[in-house]
Parts: sequence; C-alpha cells; structure tokens
Amino acid sequence: MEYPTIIGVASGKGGTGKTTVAVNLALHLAEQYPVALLDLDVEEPNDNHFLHRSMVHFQDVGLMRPEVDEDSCTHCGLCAELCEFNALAVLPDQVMIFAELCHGCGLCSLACPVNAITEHFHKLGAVTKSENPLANESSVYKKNLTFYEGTLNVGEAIATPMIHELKKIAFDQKESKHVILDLPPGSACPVVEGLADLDIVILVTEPTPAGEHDLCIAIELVKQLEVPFAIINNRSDVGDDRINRLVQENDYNLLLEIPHDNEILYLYSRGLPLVGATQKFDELFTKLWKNVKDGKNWQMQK
Amino acid sequence: MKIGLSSDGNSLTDHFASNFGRCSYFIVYDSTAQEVRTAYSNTAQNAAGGAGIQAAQSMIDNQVETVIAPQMGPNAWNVLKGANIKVYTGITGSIQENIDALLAGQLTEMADAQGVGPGRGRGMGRGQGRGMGRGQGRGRGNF
Repeated sequence: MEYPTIIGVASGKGGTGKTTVAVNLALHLAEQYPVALLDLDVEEPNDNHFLHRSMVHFQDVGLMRPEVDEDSCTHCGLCAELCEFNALAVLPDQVMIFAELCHGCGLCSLACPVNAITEHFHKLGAVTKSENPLANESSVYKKNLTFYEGTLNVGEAIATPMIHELKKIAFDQKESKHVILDLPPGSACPVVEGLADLDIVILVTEPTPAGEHDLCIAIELVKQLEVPFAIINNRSDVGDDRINRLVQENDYNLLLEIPHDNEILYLYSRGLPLVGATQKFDELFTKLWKNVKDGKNWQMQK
Repeated sequence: MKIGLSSDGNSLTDHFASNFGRCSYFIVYDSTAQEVRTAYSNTAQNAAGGAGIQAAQSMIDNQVETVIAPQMGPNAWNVLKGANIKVYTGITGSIQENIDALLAGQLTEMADAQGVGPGRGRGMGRGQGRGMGRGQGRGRGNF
C-alpha cells in the first residue's frame, strides 16, 4: 500500500469544519480516482447538503432487543444482574424491559437458564446510497464518487450500531481507491466505533479555547486507538496561536491551515462545495492531499 | 416491615440522601426487629444510565416493602410500583429521623414519579437580583 486508503475526519469540538474537509477532500480525490465518502454523523448527516446526490435505500440498521416469555421465566434475576446498561428489572412476577437503555448485546438471552428471552430486531434507522451514475454521466464527481449516508431515526439514543454498519460498508469499498469517513463530533461511543481500525484520521480544529480543549481529548482517544493522526487548523487567523503552540510543543503533524474566508461562508450557506468553485480552493485541497501523502508522522503501514 | 432508604452513609446517623438512584448508600431497616438489616453502597451511583432501575431492583432483591426517597424518576417508580412497593417522600435530616417520621405517620406517600426522564433533573430557581442604579440628578439651586 503506497498511501492510506481509509481516512477519517474527526474533530472533538463540533462545528470546526469536519464536513467541509471531508466533502471537499472526497471531491478533490474524485477528480482522479474512484472514491467513497461515508457520512457517519448519523444524528445530523450534512454531507449531502453539499453533494446534492439523489439517494436510494441501501439497508436498514437496528439492534436486537430482548423479549421475555413470562410463562417460562422463573424470575431468577440473572438477566438484570448481568445487564451492563440496567435495561432490565426483574420483579417477583414480571420482567420489565427498558428498551431505550438496551444496547442489543444479547447477553441476557445468552445467559437465561430457561431460555425465556428471545431477541427481536428493532430498527434504529437506515443507510442510503447515492444513485448509480448514468452511463453517459458527464460529471467526474458523480462518476467517481460513491456516497453513503446513515440516518438515525428521531428519538433513537444509540448510534453505535449504525456506525458499525457504515464501517463495514467502508471496509467493503473494493472499487474505491480512497474511502473518506465524516465522523461524528465529540469523543464518545459513536466516535470510538468510527475511529477503530482506520488507516489515518484528520482532526479538524480551530484556534479557540474550546477547539484546543476538545482537540486534546480527541488526540488522547486516537492515541489509545492507535490511529495515526494529523491536524487541520481551520479559521487559523481568527483565534490566537494556541493550536500552533500545541503542535510545536508536541511535534504534531499540522497538515493544513485554512484562514478565515468570507467566500467559504458564502459557498457554505448556499450548500456549495469549495472544490470546483474557485482555483484557490482547488489549490487548498491539492495542498492538503500532498501533505497527507507526505505527512512525516503517519504510520503508512499497518 | 422492611424500609429502604437512600443515604449519604451506611449508618442510621447519616444524612438522608438528596437523590434516590445516585445516592452513595442504601440502608434497609427492619422496623419489627428495630435494626438495620443491611447497608450497601450504590454500585450504580456513577452508571451512565439506569441508576434508578438498579436502585429499585436492589430494593426488590432485599424484600423491601416501603421506600423512603427524596424524589424518583419514572423508571425507578415503575419498577417499585410493579412490585407493589410503597414510596414515601423523605425529609431533610438523618436516616433515623426519616424512619421515626415514617413510623409516626408523618411522611406523605409519593403520588407520582417526579423526574422528567432518566438522568434528568428538574430545577426551580428563584432569582434574587439586586440592582445598582446610577442616579443622574440635577440640583436646582435656591437662587
């Protein structure tokens, strides 16, 4: 492998520019290669606001939730005792299931000594895929870029199974030369699930106290997961020099600085990608990709 | 009668806790034998979710018939009601004071769950602001 194939874009802090980086990097690469972009920010998938692709249903995603047969249940209480998420309570004559707490691990049904627990599929949401390009498609972006989007149903609290399915799809993109994952913000379970086993991850931040604070949490996480990382400092001339200092002090790999630019805001507010808009943005992402390939701190081989 | 209480410590002199699912200790008191049956630390105190459910489950497992709690979320409430356990609203003070108040008939039975959801509290603040004004008077001279 000459350079990484599965690239995550994460941030820690929300609103730093993950979607902008992920979408435009994917579009930039699609000018030359077959690329897959996956929107893993399943609580608020935004990538398609800038891609405008028509989507078709790809697969339902859900988890297995327990159901108890009260006739065979002996109310021994083992399931409630073992449940890591306190999703069951065993009363003297009934079992209560708190479905919204269930993570679908299946331990209760596995452990039940009288097999009174069966599991049933509960739909959390769905993955959609961009429609295949027409045979005479002229747009290189549509021809080369396959886009997947996960959408969690409103009210569902557990995103991890959805991220898990999207990761499986990502690792299955054999036709694509590069796979870009737009990860959710934060550093909780969905991000951990999204980061695991990636070739590299780009952390997008901004030079503000919250940007630095959340970046440091994200760095701690990617280090533990042993995913090679590098940083993009977005709106680099707006805050102070805290990100540059952090990079210098720790010898981190700073891939790119994106200065504040009203034109970016203009395009963003109209749902237009940067790549293809003006030459300076094409150059920006050409530079980003060059730095990704040349990055001094990447561990290229897994 | 076995009485279950949420407590800040493991003895009768300790303070009655201000939260049921997230308290430090649970105390089970036997009013017939007039002694503490068991006192155990709350393993779900820092659980990500379902602390109230586990607390209620532990009441059932210890054959508690009456629970004294400061307030209760709907999950814990449903578990206790499903097991026909009575729930009384406690008072500020020690565990012993709450037991005495219950036995003297001074506590009121809780009518409903009071939390709005798991792990979500409801606060009611009362602001007491004091303003600072700046006067701009103009004196009028007396000639």
